[in-house]
Amino acid sequence: MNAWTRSDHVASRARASLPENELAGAIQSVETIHARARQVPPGLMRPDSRGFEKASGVALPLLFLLLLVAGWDQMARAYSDPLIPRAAEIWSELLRILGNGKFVGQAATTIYRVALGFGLALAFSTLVGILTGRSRAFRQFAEPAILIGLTVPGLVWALLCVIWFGISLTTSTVAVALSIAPPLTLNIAQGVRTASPDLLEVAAIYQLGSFERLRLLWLPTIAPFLLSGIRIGLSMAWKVIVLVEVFGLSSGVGYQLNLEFSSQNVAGVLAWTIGFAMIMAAIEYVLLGGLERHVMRWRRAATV
Amino acid sequence: MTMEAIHSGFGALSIEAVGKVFVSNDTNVEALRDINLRLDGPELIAIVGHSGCGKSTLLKLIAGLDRDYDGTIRFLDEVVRGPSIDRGMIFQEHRLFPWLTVEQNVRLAIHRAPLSRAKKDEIVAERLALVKLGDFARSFPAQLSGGMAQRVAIARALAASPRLLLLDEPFGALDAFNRMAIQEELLKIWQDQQIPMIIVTHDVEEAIFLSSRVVVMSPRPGRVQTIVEIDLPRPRDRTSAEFIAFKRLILDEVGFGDARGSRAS
Ligand SMILES: Nc1ncnc2c1ncn2[C@@H]1O[C@H](COP(=O)(O)OP(=O)(O)O)[C@@H](O)[C@H]1O
Ligand SMILES: [Mg+2]
Repeated sequence: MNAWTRSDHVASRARASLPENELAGAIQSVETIHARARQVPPGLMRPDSRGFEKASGVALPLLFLLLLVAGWDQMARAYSDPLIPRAAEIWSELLRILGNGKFVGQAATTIYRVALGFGLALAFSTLVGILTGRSRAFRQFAEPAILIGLTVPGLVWALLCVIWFGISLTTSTVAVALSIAPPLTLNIAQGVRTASPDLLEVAAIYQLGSFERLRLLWLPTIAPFLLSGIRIGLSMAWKVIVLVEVFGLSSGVGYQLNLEFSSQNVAGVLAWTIGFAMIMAAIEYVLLGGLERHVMRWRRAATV
Repeated sequence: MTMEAIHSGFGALSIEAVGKVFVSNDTNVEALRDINLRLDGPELIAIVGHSGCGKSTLLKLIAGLDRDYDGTIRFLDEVVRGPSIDRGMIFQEHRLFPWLTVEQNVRLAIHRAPLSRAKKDEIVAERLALVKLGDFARSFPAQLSGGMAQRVAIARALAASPRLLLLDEPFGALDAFNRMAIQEELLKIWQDQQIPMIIVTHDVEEAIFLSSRVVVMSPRPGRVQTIVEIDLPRPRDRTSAEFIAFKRLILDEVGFGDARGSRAS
């Protein structure tokens, strides 16, 4: 008997045996039991349904993608406009850029630039985020910077960096870092504030050094916040790097997008976009998902 | 065994005329006033008293977690000026790091010790064996029961080879059976390690069962009301007439005398 049927059982018994006015309270408490049962991942509660859920986890997103492609193709056929290419055209364009090795090289360039900017922002935000979360004075000092940073559009950073640093690696690195550091810092600062004073006391008793404190206390505390910050940051970084490449660089996915755009090759624009989106999705699901499962394994252990 | 180092000098803990006032915006709370207490040798003493009479505050001062107080606290002839590995502390909550395994949690206590990796492994294994949790070295705290987690906390505190162990209502969150079992274990550990221990508890029976002296504190401001010497032979029988007599005496002191020994906390 699993938790669902058990609490249903309790519910029906409660309804049967209690007078009307006490019924509401009893049902409410049974509802809490339901809510608790729901918090446990269903896959763990009902091993028999695991296979089905796994299958639907693949089938449903596939269904969406299939519908998207079919819908697009229908629309393209209805318009029959060269600016709205058919699905097959986009596909052959995708095969072309993948086949001649151009895509891999250009995507690698772009990812390298994102990684540099990201690394810079991550180092900076971790430091500033921890300081902001720990010190009231520092928070008051840094808050305006973070708020301003959050509101400035990535386009502005891209333009300014192209103007200031010209065609160089500095441009992309700084533009990416400036755009993602504010949300990353904010997330980390929030995470730091959730640190347990109890554990800080333990760290004091055993006189952990600052490196050990960072490794054993601060990083695990901020890990979930860091991960969500990285997700937000990554999606922003991709948008900014394309802008930088469009305006000021002569290589990378953004530059290729611009080329296809100027020759009015819409299928090309879409092919590059789809190709790069797939890489970002892979990074998100495989890399970050795996990292999250690893970092959060102690929490998962609790529900098994 | 690796205990030789510990025994060389269990010395006095002396608390002289200690007072503590918590200053906040509009009100000052006098948590402790004129506390005097001495521990010579590896004695196990208990502190009981109503909630809010300053027991935790006193332990924190001894641990060095709060340096802002009046009077003097000396341990091994040195004035306490901050936390030290020499003075271990166990809290009511286990306070294990949830993302570290049992083994890593215990190891954390000797991170700074100038010992080889192998030596540290040995100490961790030995302390976990002492609390009978060797099989759970790789588990995460969330996978343990409350009693097991508290035993890990004890193993962690002992790993640092402290010369004084402070316990702040360590078994308060455990059910009665678990509590009795872990009390016996603590006694064994105390006899094995031969270090002074101070245990704060709201369980009078626990205090009598474990300690050689029970310090009864009274609230507002927190003071030492009386110190009851428990001269019962060990192992102690919780149901013996003498034991019950001590229980009655101490319950009288904390103001539950009319309960005739039937209320233990
Ligand atoms: N950090 C603090 N700030 C202000 N007052 C405190 C603080 N800690 C404890 N107190 C006060 O000091 C008194 C003693 O507290 P405590 O030592 O926790 O009592 P006990 O552990 O005996 O229950 C209480 O009145 C409590 O409100
Ligand atoms: Mg307390």
